[in-house]
Amino acid sequence: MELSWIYGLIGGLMIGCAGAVLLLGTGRIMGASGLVGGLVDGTGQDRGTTAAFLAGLVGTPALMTGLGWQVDTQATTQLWLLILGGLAVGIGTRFANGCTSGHGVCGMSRLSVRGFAATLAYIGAGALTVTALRLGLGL
Amino acid sequence: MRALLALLSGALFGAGLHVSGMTDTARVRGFLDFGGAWDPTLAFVMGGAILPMVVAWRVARSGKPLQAPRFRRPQAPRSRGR
Repeated sequence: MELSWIYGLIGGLMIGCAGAVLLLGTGRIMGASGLVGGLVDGTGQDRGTTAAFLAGLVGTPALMTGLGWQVDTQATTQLWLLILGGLAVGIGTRFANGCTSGHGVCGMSRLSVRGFAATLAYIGAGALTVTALRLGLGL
Repeated sequence: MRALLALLSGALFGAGLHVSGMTDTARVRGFLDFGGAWDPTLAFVMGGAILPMVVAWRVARSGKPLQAPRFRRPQAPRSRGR
């Protein structure tokens, strides 16, 4: 537990390498929300490539869990809450033109003003929500 | 080949999320809980992820991707006044 920052750093470096492989290999920006969105709404180009990326993204943690590397998660098992949360994330990232991977990782690393603004807004709004829920509902 | 690179990228992304513990919702929530039991792990994940990308953007300034005709530049913000 006290070593979680090292795992965080290692995992982060892996995520950065993932973005580098996608950019230098396929010329595309690794924004998870945009890639999913382009696949679903039909506006995305080169959908086979996108589908391959998402298969790796979803499949690898599942595979690692299956092989015995388990990570606890506190996600709710209430289906309607999961759907509601997913919808909120989808609508928000569409309005903001990107999510944590697109704006945070790919945007801030090229010193994009929009990337910094979006990331700070996400953290600020998230912190407000978490604090409000903790103080208000005792969650 | 391009799909294979994308698969590798997605797999690295997924594995990175898993290794860093970011598939645990409590960790993400903990990072946002500045007034409570703050968990800084996400900051290390973000910092670690930005480092290789800084190099990648530098490399991407010249030339072209391995398996595509050109780099797709981030688009300018679109007006949403509809």
